[in-house]
Amino acid sequence: MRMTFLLAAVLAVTAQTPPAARKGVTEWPMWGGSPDRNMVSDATGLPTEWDVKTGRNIKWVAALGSQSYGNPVVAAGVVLVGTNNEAVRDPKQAGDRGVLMAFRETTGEFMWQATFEKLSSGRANDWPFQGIASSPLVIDGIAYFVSNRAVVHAVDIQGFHDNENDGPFKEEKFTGKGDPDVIWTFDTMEEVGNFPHNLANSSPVAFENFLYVSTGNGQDESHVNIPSPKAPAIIALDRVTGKLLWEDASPGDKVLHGQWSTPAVGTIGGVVQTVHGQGDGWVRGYDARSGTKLWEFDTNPKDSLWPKTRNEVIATPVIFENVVYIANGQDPEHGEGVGHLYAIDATKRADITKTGLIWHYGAPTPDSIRRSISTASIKDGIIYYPDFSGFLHCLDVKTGKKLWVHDMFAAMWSSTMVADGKVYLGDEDGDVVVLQHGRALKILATNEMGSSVYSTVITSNGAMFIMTRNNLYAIQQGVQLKR
Amino acid sequence: MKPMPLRLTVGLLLTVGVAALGANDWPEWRGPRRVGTSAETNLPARWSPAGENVAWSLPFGGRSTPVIFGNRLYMQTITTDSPATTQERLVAVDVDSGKIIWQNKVSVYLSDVRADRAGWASPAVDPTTGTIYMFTVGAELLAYAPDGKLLWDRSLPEEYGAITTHGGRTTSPIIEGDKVILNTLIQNWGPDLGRPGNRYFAFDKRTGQTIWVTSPQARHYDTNYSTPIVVEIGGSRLLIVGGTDGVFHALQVNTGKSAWSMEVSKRAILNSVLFRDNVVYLTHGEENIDTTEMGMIAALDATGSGQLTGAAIKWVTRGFLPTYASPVMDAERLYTVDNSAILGAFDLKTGKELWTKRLGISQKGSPVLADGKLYVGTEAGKFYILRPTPTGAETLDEDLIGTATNPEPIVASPAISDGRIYVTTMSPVTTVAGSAGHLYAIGTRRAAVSAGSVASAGSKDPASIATGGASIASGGARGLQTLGDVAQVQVFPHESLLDPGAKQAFTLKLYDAKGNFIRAAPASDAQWTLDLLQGAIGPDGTYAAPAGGSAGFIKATVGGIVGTARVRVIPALPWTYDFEGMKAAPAWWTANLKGVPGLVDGGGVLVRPRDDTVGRRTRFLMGRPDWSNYTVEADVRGAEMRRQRGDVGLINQRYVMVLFGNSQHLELHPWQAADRMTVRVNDVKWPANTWFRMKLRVENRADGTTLVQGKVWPKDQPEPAAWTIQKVDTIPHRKGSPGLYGDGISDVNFDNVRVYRNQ
Repeated sequence: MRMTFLLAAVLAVTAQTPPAARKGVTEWPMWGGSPDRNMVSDATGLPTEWDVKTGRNIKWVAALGSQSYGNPVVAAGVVLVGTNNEAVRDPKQAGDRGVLMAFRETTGEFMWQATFEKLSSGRANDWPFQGIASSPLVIDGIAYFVSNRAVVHAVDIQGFHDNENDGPFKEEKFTGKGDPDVIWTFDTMEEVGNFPHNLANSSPVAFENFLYVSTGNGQDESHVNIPSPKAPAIIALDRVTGKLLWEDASPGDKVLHGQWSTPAVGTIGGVVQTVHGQGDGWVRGYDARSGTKLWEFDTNPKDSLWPKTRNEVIATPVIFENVVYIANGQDPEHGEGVGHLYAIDATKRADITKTGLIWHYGAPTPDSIRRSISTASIKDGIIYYPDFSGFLHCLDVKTGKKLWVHDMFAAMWSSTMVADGKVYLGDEDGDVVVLQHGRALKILATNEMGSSVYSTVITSNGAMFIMTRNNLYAIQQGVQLKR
Repeated sequence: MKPMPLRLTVGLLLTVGVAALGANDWPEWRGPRRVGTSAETNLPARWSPAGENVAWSLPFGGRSTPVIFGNRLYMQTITTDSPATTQERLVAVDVDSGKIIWQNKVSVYLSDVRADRAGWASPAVDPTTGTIYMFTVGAELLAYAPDGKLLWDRSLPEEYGAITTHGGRTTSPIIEGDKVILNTLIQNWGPDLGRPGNRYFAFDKRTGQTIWVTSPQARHYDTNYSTPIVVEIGGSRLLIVGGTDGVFHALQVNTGKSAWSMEVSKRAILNSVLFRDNVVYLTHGEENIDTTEMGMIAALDATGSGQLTGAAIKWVTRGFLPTYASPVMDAERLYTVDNSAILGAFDLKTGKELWTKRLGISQKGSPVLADGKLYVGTEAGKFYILRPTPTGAETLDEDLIGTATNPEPIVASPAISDGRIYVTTMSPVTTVAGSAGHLYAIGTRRAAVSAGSVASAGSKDPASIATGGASIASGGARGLQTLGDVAQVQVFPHESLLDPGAKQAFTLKLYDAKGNFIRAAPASDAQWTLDLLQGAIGPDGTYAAPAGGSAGFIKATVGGIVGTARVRVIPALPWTYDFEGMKAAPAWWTANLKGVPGLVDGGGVLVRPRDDTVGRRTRFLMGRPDWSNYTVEADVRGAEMRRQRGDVGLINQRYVMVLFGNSQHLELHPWQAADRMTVRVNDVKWPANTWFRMKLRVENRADGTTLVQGKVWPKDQPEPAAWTIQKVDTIPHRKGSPGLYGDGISDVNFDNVRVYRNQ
């Protein structure tokens, strides 16, 4: 009891301090851990091996729905994760829904959940059983995420556990301890007219009071029609009021399919930029405050043809030392194919497809990257990039030259996490492979999770969190799960 | 009774080219017993796409498994000459020489399925006549004689309101006795079939008329392609199929009546089942109804009735996800491939996972099992020949078609016939033009095995086409069957499309509660009545259509038991609809329930109301599928909502002319998803809430082409002399129903609709 109290006190203090310079040590408050989305952590003392069957190095496990795609985040002692409603926690809210679940970081105890009915438009906008795929952003105890109904939500991360109904929104239908305390909402489909293809999945990112969200605007179920070409690909909201600040609809009716890339923010050439991979296969950089489009970069060869050789952008851009790193790929349903990974000089302006190209790694070079929906890890002059065909590529970040490639023999939706001198990577087979971080390939361990790992490993307070299709694991060196 | 030797029958009936030799046909997608197996032995254990053990190959492939009957192979695929002229086609190949004997090309219409998804289904061959049946990705069912002559075609979009979408998923038809059986998503006319849903159809294989249409499903999640098997359980001949409702259904094959159902998932079932000794082996790779673990491999006691529960499950294994591949089994084990291309073996007695073997990264195709070997191709272009054992699978052969980075994906399961394996690949992953995949004929074709061995091989298995086909074809009452009392009355044809004043004679068949055929009854045995339908029916079961349009039901009562037929009477041209005072859309339109008469500025109009559902896209098909050379006109009006404008259009002879609201342009579609066929006129302004008039005229020309001309103008202005949009179609639609088209989330209005013969 005392231990728990102490920990909670420490966490409460942590939550009020500015984001730690040391990433992943006391929290993991957003997709990628920081606005630049670089999948690295400063955590140490992480386990190399664990066993979900025996409970070795497993701190706790929490049951999720049948499919989970909202990568976990941790802040203020709370773990948030997006899943579906197949593990019904409230019989009053049954049926297929998108669900955001909150667990206590220390114990895995369920705190609250926000559930959302499916859109009546069905699979075109809100694919069955995909749950919530948005990974929340937490700032000052407020979690921002996008529901399966394409509604941006600001909620109190403590739910009603703080015995307050934070507003301005106070019309919550359910106000029990297990229910969400909503602060404001922004219904993107009503307000900006987007038509999310299959699912709105954006993981928000912020700068000052600007909250950036991809709308997911895309095709209808026929796959031959963009019903809302005037709707933006990206919007900026005021994260205090939830009001629209700027928007951009550059892809228009050129969206190839959907838009599932999520924005990153960073200072590039002295300008704070919001960088977003968009559904026409272009990556665009915006002035974070004004929304002015600064540059755009086509990730596809001009002679490529959708859906064979022309790709969409699903990966998240990573901003590192004035350079944007991003690969293109396709909906996993489309299978394997050629891919491209770029290092882009984002200090350039206008169409920088030629002028901003630092290096390219991909087709037609043999044995290079294939279609990828994963996000980069960059550390110590090395970039790690997984692809959907099961290959993990390790390159020199400055030159794009291949250092090594490791075949996982299974599809990868997830990204590497570089932490504690190691590289963690999960795959569809349910394996989490641990490799030595470095310019030579060395496999340290393979851990079986028992179900597909579509998530990326995150760290907080000495633990790692790994989401499988239907469970969330907290993994920590030297603990034993008691059953 | 002993089934008639099939090849002998074919030999007698076929006149040209087809030799009645071999004894091991593969007449449908899942083979002679519909379970992905063949009784043949000494099958190839090695080959290479470079030529080893390849008898011949074709430079095109596709998505679907070819079928083989006698010395003909029939392949359903697309044409490959130009995207501007892509059609679905049925190709007949001489299996000895690999030469194409004939091919029939079919233009796709009223479909948003893309060309690269066309040719989804496998054809089916009737073992008693050699007739080939092809169900296109556009939901048209065609019957071809062995010489390639078209015998009949049924336009399911126009006759039954079939809706094609969701990336082309199309069921492969099966031939069972006198029936062609398939399922598809429809929104037809009337209170019963007017609601969108997946329906099961049995067509008379000789004429294409419907024998029964049935709606056992309470809901519809996604379109699917679970192809049924037909088995005998408890004296009842049942079709067992996975539904689009997450439910496995057993339907009486003669009547379509539900025998039992078993709900297992919350998504559509794509897999076909296996059957042995009254046990159904079922699989799926989606959500289960009672656990967060996805996927199911289960053994179900199939002797029950009504809604089966978990008590009927003998064993179940979860966590293995074969969403796309259908299973096969030998005496001890069930084999299937999960979505990640992992082959799994499961103990048939316990369901226990015995071993797995990784074949690739992702998987769509099903394995085939014969001669103790598993034959399976993967999406990464690998084709494996494996020998399964109790503890694993020995790789006998592994080939890559294409290159590692640019493979030819294999989604079709292989076919086996007369000692050969036929492997179909798709066009390479990243090759945009110039290659269309391959069909490989592997191994030496064997001389004929005696026809008798076919019959005996078939008769061992209750799912045999041989047994079922011959016994039903022979007239029905099977020797050992004890017939019950009359419990079901079948009125034939089940659905009719008639001209005003036409006469249609209906006939009766009587079945017992288990769906066993008792006898054909004279029409005079029934009391005949009409429901919602105008016209008159005589005591001899002959219906006389009224002078105008009507739609409704004919009921025949025999001994207190009612049989029903559906009838539409399409009024003769010309038509004018001003919708003044109209209370409902005409009952004979497909999707008529989606049309709501309303008032705009005090005048009557037809409204396709605001629609936030997946069924937004609406086609009202108003006439006969065999009409041609007419003109359609209508006033149209759209609104704006959430920055989105809807689209509105006219349909004439399977061409659709659409005003697109968001981009303010006009398109003319022979096939909506085929960009290269579309004619586009930009900058056609049609502001929201403003009436425009559209006119679409189609003319079949003597040179075999079709001239399609359309125009659009503000309603309050005189009609312009010039056409706005025009196409001369060299792969023309030569016939089709007039119709109206609406899409988008907001209201779409129509008024002053006129349809008339070309002037």
